[in-house]
Amino acid sequence: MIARTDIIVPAPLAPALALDASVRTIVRHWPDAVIVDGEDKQVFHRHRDVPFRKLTDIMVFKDRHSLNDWREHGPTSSNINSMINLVWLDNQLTIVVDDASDPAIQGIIEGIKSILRQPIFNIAA
Amino acid sequence: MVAPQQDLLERLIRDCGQGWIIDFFGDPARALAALEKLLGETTVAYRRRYPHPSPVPSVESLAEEHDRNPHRVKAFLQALSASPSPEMLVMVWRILQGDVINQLRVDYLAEQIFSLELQLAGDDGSIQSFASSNIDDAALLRHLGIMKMAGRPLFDGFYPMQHSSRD
Repeated sequence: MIARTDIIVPAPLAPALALDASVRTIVRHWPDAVIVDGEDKQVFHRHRDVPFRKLTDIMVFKDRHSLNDWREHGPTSSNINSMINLVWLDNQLTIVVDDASDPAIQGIIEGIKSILRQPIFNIAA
Repeated sequence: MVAPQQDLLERLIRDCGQGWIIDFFGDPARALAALEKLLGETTVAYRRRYPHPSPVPSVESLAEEHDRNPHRVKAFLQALSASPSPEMLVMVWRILQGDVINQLRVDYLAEQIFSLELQLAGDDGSIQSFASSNIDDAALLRHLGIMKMAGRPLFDGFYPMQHSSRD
């Protein structure tokens, strides 16, 4: 069993906007990322194809191999930190990772936090 | 009589809460016609730069995208109201489609020089450069995502201003 860590980021934004910016940040780190709708498991191979308006729970796999590994074996020590789960609920984004002390994962989390706190996101109409 | 394309464009603009773009100038029909013309020129400029199949910035594409990602359409419409340059609007569209901003240069000397240059990299490896000497295009810089990745500076993404949590 792999322990997972929740990082909660307050972000009173439109959910689609926050999820889009967060996934985009992950794709910068993982250019071959595969994106999966956490509810109906629909798979998207390109960030631009994701209909963020319809999603609140997204799994981002590092690459196709990671997705297949998860499908076959579930979370194991061999695929640790190869998937990040983003969940939007009540004006906050929860980033779920395996090992938040991993420098690569820390870089992604830092990126998501920095993009979501930029001022233009927080000027409400 | 209003053309169907103009009607659709107006609906998109108003649905995105950007009605001021066409109401501000006192003659909405004329403003709408000008925006449709600029968008048409942007479509042509896009096809010239990116002849391979990919989503083209057009009224139809915007309508499709609005159903899936309204914030992206809002950002593009805000750019359409700010920049008179089809080339710069192609650049905005590509960033919205996921292109990476490789390089950005601004040169400015009061009342003498404004120069903006951006280089984009697509996921297919394509590199394209965009340049403007029109200071109106500086407004586009306000929409760029600003972030740090592992402590390193990054401009990434093109986002709407004045979002609504209902978007």
